[in-house]
Amino acid sequence: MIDWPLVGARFVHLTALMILAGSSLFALLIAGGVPPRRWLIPAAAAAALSAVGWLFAVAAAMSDRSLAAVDAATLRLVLGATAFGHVWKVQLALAGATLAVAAWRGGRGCSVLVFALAAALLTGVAAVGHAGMAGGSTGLLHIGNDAVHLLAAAVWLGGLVPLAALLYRASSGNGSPPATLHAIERFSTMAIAAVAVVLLTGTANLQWLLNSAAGIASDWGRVLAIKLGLVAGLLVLAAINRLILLPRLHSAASAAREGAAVALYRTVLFEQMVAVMVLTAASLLGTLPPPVAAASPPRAFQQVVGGAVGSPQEAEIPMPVAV
Amino acid sequence: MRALILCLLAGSWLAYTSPAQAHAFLEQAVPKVGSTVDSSPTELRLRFSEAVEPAFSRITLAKKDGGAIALGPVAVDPGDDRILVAAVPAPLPPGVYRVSWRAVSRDTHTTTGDFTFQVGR
Repeated sequence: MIDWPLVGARFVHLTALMILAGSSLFALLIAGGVPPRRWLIPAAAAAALSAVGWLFAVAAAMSDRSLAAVDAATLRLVLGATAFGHVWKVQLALAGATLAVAAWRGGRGCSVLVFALAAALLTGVAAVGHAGMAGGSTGLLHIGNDAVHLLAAAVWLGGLVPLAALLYRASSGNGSPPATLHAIERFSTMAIAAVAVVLLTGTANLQWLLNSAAGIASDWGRVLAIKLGLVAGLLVLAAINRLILLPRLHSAASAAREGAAVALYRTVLFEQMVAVMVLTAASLLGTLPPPVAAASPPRAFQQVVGGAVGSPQEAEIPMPVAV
Repeated sequence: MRALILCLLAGSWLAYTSPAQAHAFLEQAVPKVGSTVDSSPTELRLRFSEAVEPAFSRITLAKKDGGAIALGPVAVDPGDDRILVAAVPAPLPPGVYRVSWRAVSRDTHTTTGDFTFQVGR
């Protein structure tokens, strides 16, 4: 059974944070300015609302109730007495602050603040995910790795939103061609670095969560395989942009340049659609149980609630060791 | 050369990572799963594969063919946040008992399970 409210809240939260981080960094490093508030404010509002939704979904799951039956006492208990709650109090405060900053007319300082807040919020997402389970210094390492993974993904995928806006202007004949070309080339280089970090930290995450090849044959493994396939598709699209379409922007004929800008704009839109599917898979993965080692104690009599590992049965299996 | 150094750095980072688990699975219990103990336990101790949230985790005890038996509040062991402890207030008469548990792990996932143990012969 999949916890769809939790998957939905995770998806909206992740997507909004990626747009906030990616577009503010794009403004700072690529396009020299401030990301348009007409998408910063909705993204910040979506991040704040989905943070509240995530809290309700976790409270419902923890207390074994329906979403509608979650009451103030349960929310207080989640926020006050669980590791998730300790992180999420900060998450809610930061999400509120991000909305305030996005709504504030700010210039460059606004972009810096939005990027820093979105990076902190992505770290919060990492802290309450599968990376946060180890505790201690190993746990901090897992969380740090996952936070870098999410932030690099945000630089890449979130940056596609302002990139599309830039290409739209270029393909409709507006904007200065040399400046646009320069910006697209700089984003392309930054995205390659971000992709390298995504792949490295993603592989490290995998080492933690998947400790045998047999683990692929689980729901978690199947969703992971779909996600990796989608990422491979994204890489193909990015390579087409970089190797085929980008050189055509250097063309002397203005008609050829505009044609290339239109084609680039279309593949970037397509990349955004695939990115949305990747984030959907990532949101689902966070709620599914990663495969665990079969070597340790008998698990036949234990069951994952909301997952699909084993089933409870008569348990007369002696434990190997005493406490 | 720079590429080689980057590859070595990447390789050592990946080698440093080691597998972990994401749901709380029962690893050890006192009384032991399926065991027979001579006298009534004064508490139930369940050790899981990862840290659990006492606020939302539950342990219930019932006579195998009878009603529920009241336990003390569930808490984590002060020295190990993977261990759930619940006191058994009144001595258990001889018989077979079923322990059912619901564990909420620190990363918010829920697992359930049960086991039996026997008091006396």
